[in-house]
Order: sequence, then C-alpha cells, then structure tokens
Amino acid sequence: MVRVAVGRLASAVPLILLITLGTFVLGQLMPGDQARAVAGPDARPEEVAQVRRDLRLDDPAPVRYVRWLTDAVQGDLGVSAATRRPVADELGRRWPVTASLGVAALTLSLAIGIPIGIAQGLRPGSWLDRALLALVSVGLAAPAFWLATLLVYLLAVERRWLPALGYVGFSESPVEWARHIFMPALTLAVVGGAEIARQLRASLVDVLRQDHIRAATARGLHPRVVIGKHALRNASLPVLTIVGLRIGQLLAGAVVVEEMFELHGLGSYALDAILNQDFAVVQGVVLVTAAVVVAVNLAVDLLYHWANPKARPA
Amino acid sequence: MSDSYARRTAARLVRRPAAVAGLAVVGVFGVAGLLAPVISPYGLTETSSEFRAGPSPDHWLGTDAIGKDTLSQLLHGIRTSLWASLVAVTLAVVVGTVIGLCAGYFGGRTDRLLMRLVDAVLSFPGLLTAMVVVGLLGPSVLNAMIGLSVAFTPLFARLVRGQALAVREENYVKAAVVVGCGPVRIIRRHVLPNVAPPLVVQACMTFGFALLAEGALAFLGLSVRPPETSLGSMLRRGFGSINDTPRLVLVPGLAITVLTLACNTVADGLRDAMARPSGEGAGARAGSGDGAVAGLPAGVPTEVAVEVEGRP
Repeated sequence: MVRVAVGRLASAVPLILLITLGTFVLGQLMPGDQARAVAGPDARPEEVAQVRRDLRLDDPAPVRYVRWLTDAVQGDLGVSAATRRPVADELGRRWPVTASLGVAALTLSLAIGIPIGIAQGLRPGSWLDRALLALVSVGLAAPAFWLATLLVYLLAVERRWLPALGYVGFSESPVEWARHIFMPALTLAVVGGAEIARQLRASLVDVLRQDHIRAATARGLHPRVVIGKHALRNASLPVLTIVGLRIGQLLAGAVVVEEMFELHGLGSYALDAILNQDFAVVQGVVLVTAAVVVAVNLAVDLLYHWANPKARPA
Repeated sequence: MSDSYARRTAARLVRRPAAVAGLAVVGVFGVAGLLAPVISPYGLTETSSEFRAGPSPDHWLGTDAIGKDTLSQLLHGIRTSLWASLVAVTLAVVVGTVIGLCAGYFGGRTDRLLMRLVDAVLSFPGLLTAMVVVGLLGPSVLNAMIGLSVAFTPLFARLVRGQALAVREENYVKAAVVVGCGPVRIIRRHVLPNVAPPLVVQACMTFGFALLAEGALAFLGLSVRPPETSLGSMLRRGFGSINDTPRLVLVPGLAITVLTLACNTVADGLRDAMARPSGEGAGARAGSGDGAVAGLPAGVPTEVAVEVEGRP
C-alpha cells in the first residue's frame, strides 16, 4: 500500500508540473498586456512600465515560469490583476464554499444513484429497469445550467421555499447552509447520480452472472446476503472510479453553478479570472484543480487496493 | 471499415427502435439547423414591438425580452450549437487519430512523450480545460471549438493508440512489413480500418457531451458573441427574466436536452450494433469486453473503461 502511494505520488509531480507548464505556455499566447491588466485601464505609461519592472515581465518566459514555480512551492501564487489581492489568500478564503458544495453534491448523487442502480441491476430488462433507464438517460442529457434554472423557478420563484441566491457558512447556521446549498448541490448531483446509477447497473448485471453468485445462491444463502455481501461489494469497485472522476467534474460544474447561484467559491473565481484574462488567478486555480484531481486519484487507487485483494501487489 | 461491415451494422442499428427514434430526432434538428436562415420566420437581429409575448400566429413560440422571435432564435441557436460541436469533435478525431497513430505505431520515446501530454490533459476535467483555453485565447465560437477539441483530443488519441498497438502485433501486419510495405500503406490499409468502428462510437458519444459543453460555455459568455446566438446563450438571456417568462428558459433547455438525449441514444445503439453478436441482448450494456468503449458512461475516458473492466 505504501509502495503504491509513493509510486503514485512520484508520477503525480511531473503531471502537475506539465499541467502548470501547459497553462503557462497558453498564457503566453494570451492576447493583451499583463502589465496593463495589473496596472488598470487608466494607468499612465510610466505606471505600466513600473508594474512591468515590479513583476519582472521583461524576463524571458522560461525564467518567469521557474520563478512562478519556486514562489508557488512557497505558497505565493502572485497577485490578481483585477482585485490586487494575493491569489493564495483568495483561494484560501473561497475553497470552503466549493468544498462544501462538492461534498453536498457528491452525497446527493450517491443517494440518487445507488438505489436506482441497484433497482435496475437486480432486474435487468424489467419495466422498472426500462423506466429508470429513461430517467437516467434524461439525467445524462439535461445540462446543469438548465436544471438549475428549473429548480430556481420551481422552488424559489413559484413556491418560495428556498433562497434563490447566496451562501451561508455551515459554522454560522447549519440549517441556512443546507437551505442555500440544496439547489446548487442537486443541480450537480443529477448528472453524477445518473452516471453512478448507470455504472452500478452495468457492473451489478455483470457480477450477478458470475459463478460465485450462483454458488452462493445454490448454497441456500438469503438473497439479501448474496446481494449485499457478495454482489454489491464487487459491483461497487467500478463505481468508485466513477466517483473519483465525478470529483474532478464537480470542479468544472462548480463554475456554472456558482455563477448562477452567486456562491463565491473557486468556480466563480475561475470564471471571473477567465473573463478578465487575469492570468495569475487562472494559473492558481489550474494548480489547485490539478492537485485536487491528483489527490482524488491517489485516494481512489488506495481504496481500490484496500477493497480489492486481487489488486494488491503480491 | 468494409462496406459489408458497415451495411451489417446499419441493418442491426435500424432494428433498434430507440436508436431509430434518436436518429430521427437528430435528423430533424440537423435539417432545422441547416435550413435555419431559410426557414426562420424572422431575421436574427429583427425585433418586434411585442416584448415577452406569448405564442401567437405571428410568433409561434412567442418573443423574448427585447422583442426577438423565439422560434427564429431557436433555429439559429440549434444551427450554431450543432456546428460548433461538429467542428470540435471532428478536429479532436483528426488530431487525436494522428497522435494516437504516431504513438502506437512508432512506439518508444515518441509514444512515451505523446502519452504523457495526453494523460496530462485527460487528468483535467474536460469542461474546465475548454474554459481555460477559451479564457486564455479570448471568448468566441472559434475559440470555444478549439477549447473543446483540446479537451476531447486525448480520448481519441488513447483509443487509436491502443488499437494501433494491438494491430501492430498481428501476423498479417508483420507479413506486410516483410513484403516491404511502408508505414503509410500499413496504417491506411490495416490499422485505420480496425480503428474506425470504436472511433465512430466514441465520436458519437463525445458529440453529445460537446453539445452540453458548448451550451455551458455559451451560457457563461465564453462562446458566441451577440448578435450570434446558440442554445446556451439563449438560455442565459432567458435566465434574466425567469420570474415572469419561464418559457424563454424552458424552450432552449428542452432543445439541448432532447438533442443530447437523441445523440446519446444513437451512440448507444451504434455501440451495441457494432458489438459482436455474442454481446447482444439486455446484458450487452454491462461491458462484456466487446470493444474498448462497451458499457461506458458518456464522457468517460476510454482508458478508464479499460481500467474499470480489466483492473488487475
């Protein structure tokens, strides 16, 4: 297990480096002048020149990348051109919003996807399976920004049950937090739930056809034991991979959802930066995303090794 | 892909009611998009004095907040969304195939370098990749297409590389090398025909995701610029008047959902039709190992499917 973890981490570092390097190279292609962006539209030429000197933008690109990297390792991600605030501080202030959105969305998608997937997988081809399949297909095809508008209309405009906008921290008021996070989280959970249901159905159908399940049934074990202990445990491994992938997708989905519900998390920070061509922020968000994705992959791998004895190195 | 293979696949495809229905819906949307400038009752920039009017003989789907005809906007939106997705996926298929062939056929250092790059892009959430690329290049439909194709290319590169690696080990390819065939001829005559079927399925699946992703980019203001419209930007404008005219959100949202659903259905049907007959039936979706993309949730990288199914 430790060897797996170390091996994975060793291959993760070049991956993160490559991603930040790619973003940096793309940033060089970015139209517009970074110094002017930082100094502001009304800045006099000498002020722009001053900023250019301060940020040492005249250095060759490789030098600037290495300097960004050495600063980043020490926790300094530069300064946002739009707000003049340190990127690292802003990321630190905003990540709890996105993290709690992600946790709520993931929990909801498991709560939606697991029962549907089991109901389908136990009786493939039945009318229930077909009906749920139609539901899952719609869930996979409905865009998040549309679901969100429908939810807002139904739950916040038509019936004033939930607030349409904003965010309240969990530590301030758990009830208000839940009321504010429910619609954004459900928006993201529909696709996730559909993907989980689809994968769980497929792997459950596969597992239930295998000999050891037939043997367990033949030995007279109760169906609940056969399904709960033998089938679901095996069928849940591919679902784990989907959940791992979902976490990365959630970060992308958060951009849309945070924008719509006016949550000030990493997603809306990323969108503002992208629209304002705020390069330091884009680079910072990319770094955080890459780190999260790599960490999630590592966690999924370790869980896999823990749950599946066949994957353990001999 | 030989003619008889294509014909047999087509025959199996049309025996699936869901796939046929999906194909019909895609066809209707395709024609609507193609003919949008001709059949739209009003021009793209034309406004009337009726704001947020309900459906009427003059405006079948009503008008929006600035008096534009919703039906005309919808038709042009479908046109843009389909076109952007088509270009993005085609670009990704072409570039991905070239990368995958180079990596798989030549192997060695080329392979390692190219796959490193592919994995780096693949590890990043696709929509976020597209957003970052668009953000750095500036918002426009063209850059949205480029961003999406950057996000999709790794899927195809991985798929083609895997097939190319497998085919290279076949005896008939070795025989062709002995006979003196060059790499171009071998790739064209032996590798590409083997790669084509799973590539077509993957392209169809990616197309459904491309529609959603382009919609999201347009919704966020990262794709079309006004007066051009796409389904996503239409929905964005409707979002502002959701309190009194939810129809303006309902119409484009329904269009994206139905279109994506139809594309996904066609892709599923195609995948099942291309699978070997032993994999057919109700359990075929379970990923019995037929083809690299069997049993895959839409938008999941093929490599993951291989891991999901064949994890040691």
